[in-house]
Amino acid sequence: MSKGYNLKDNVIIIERDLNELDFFVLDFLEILKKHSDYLVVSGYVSISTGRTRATEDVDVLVPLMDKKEFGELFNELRTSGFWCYQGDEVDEIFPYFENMTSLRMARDDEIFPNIELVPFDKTKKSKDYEFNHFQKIRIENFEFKIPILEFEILYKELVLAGKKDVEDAKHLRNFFSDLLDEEKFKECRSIILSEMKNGKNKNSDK
Amino acid sequence: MEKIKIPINDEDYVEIYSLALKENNKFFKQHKIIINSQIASSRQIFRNKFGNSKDFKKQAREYLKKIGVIN
Repeated sequence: MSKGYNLKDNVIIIERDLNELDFFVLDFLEILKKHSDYLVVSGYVSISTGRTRATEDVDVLVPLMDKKEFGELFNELRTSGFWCYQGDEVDEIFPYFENMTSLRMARDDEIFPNIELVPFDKTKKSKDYEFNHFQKIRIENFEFKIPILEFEILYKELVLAGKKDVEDAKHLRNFFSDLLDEEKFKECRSIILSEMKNGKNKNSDK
Repeated sequence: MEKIKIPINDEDYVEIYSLALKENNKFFKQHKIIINSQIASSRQIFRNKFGNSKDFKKQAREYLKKIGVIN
């Protein structure tokens, strides 16, 4: 009998095989990483660590980039077998990205699952905080970045707060109970509540 | 003998499963079956609905607009 996860050199290693959803995310991130930093957030964080539920999208935060950088990323994704719900050309898609509207991309000839690429800048305090306070996670040879667990849990409990979000948070609290840190909870709570108070999460697309 | 909590609602089941998974990774086998099954079903549904034709994107976009995923 082996534990569900282990911690090695501050990387959380989930003791399981890769599944089809992981391969989809892995293929997308392999391309994205060549062009930009990123953070995987929301549902996939819980699902990849054992929460057993369906999902349609995988949310990935990316910092805003200029049109040239974005075009290189977008064109490589297109030629690597991904299509974008909103359009096929950089000129058509970049205005969405520039306005910090999420883009959705799936594999050619498929709709779900899709990646929801969520652009942000430093005016988005919560997103900027989680982006800069990440946790590495590994499943077999697939390593990727997620927010620190305390932030992810509180964001689900306080901001998203739907039934599945509360259940996701419950999963994370139980599964990672040995790793959670009260001081980090305090710091994250303060960041999230401050932004909620300022009303900046009203139209959050996370 | 450890007392087992009787699950009442969905959150209770989430708790039981996550605690079991934490101590024993064999439960990830069920997790993999369910996730892979969802992906396979979704792929099949939309291939049946829109086919593999060059019109896939056109038809998919019309569908996504209809259900309000894109504008």
